[in-house]
Amino acid sequence: MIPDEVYVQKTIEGDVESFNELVQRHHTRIYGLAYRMLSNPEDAADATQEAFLEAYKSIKSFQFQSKFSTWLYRVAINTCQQYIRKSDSRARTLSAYTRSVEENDAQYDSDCPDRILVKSESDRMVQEAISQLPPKQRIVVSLFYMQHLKYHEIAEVLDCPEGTVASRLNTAIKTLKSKLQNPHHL
Amino acid sequence: MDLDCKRVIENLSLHSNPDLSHEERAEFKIHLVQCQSCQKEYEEMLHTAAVLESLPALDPPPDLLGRTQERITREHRRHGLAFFANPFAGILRLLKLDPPPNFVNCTAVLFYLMLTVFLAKLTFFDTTEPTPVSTPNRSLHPDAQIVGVPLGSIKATVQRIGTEEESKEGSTKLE
Repeated sequence: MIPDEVYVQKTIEGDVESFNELVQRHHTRIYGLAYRMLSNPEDAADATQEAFLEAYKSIKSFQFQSKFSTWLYRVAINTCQQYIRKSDSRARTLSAYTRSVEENDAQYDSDCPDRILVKSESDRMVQEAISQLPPKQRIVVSLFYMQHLKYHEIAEVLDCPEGTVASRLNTAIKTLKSKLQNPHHL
Repeated sequence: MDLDCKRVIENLSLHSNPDLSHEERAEFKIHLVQCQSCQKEYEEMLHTAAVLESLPALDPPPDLLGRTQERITREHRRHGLAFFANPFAGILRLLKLDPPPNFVNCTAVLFYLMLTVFLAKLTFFDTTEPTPVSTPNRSLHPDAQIVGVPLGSIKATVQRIGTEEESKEGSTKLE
């Protein structure tokens, strides 16, 4: 498999198709990260597009000192944080998520396994609990548990010491534990 | 909860802090084995972590990839356009045409060049004859020409003709 960095070099030289190859490779992961951070499928899709566009515009600032995916995560996190700052995003979050779950539930209803329904409900609760974490904790939870990055990779993405990553994860887990044990607080 | 428990719970090694020393880590592990309350807390955290790990991978909307790639390509084209070629690109987009940026740039240059030549010709190099003010009198002989004659010469001619006629009349009378 051709390394990402080769495509990055070609993109810098003006080959847009190389960047589109990178989009194809990474869009699922970036969407997953955006969704966990924004808890809203529409915002997540928009943020994914924005993140890739921003990455394309600033591709020349990529120094080839880290992995392209690390750099891309950083761009995506910045984009998502801008979305979080937007006041209307928070307002839309819950309603859109509930709507998407209802749509999913309707889809699952047709398949009809109760097990899936229960799983869907528990996933919804977990996602809701994640969305109530402070953004910094939300990011580390998403990168560690959903994107399966290692401590040092997360530290590189967030430009902070590994100890900070560990402590944020511990705090997030404790908060999530108490939220999931008392779901009426959600 | 004694002080040890508090410390252990604060630093619970589910995500072990890399800054902790080996001794501290060993101390926490020993405490975890001995203290049921901390053990319960630790297991609950493990459970929470397992719940997070079990969350399903999310599939992006099916059209997200296409939309993103299209946007990137559009940005690439827009970036390749010279500022003066933007109106042309806009018109071509309206016509649902999407030629390469270099082609649009060249067309724009050509258009502006032709426009400049046309305007320059109109302004500085216009050599066409002025059109006659009135339509020619069709009753005139085809070879007849309309010529400008000074007003004084017309008066002089009229006077001369008058004098000639008078002298003719005089000579007739004498005869």
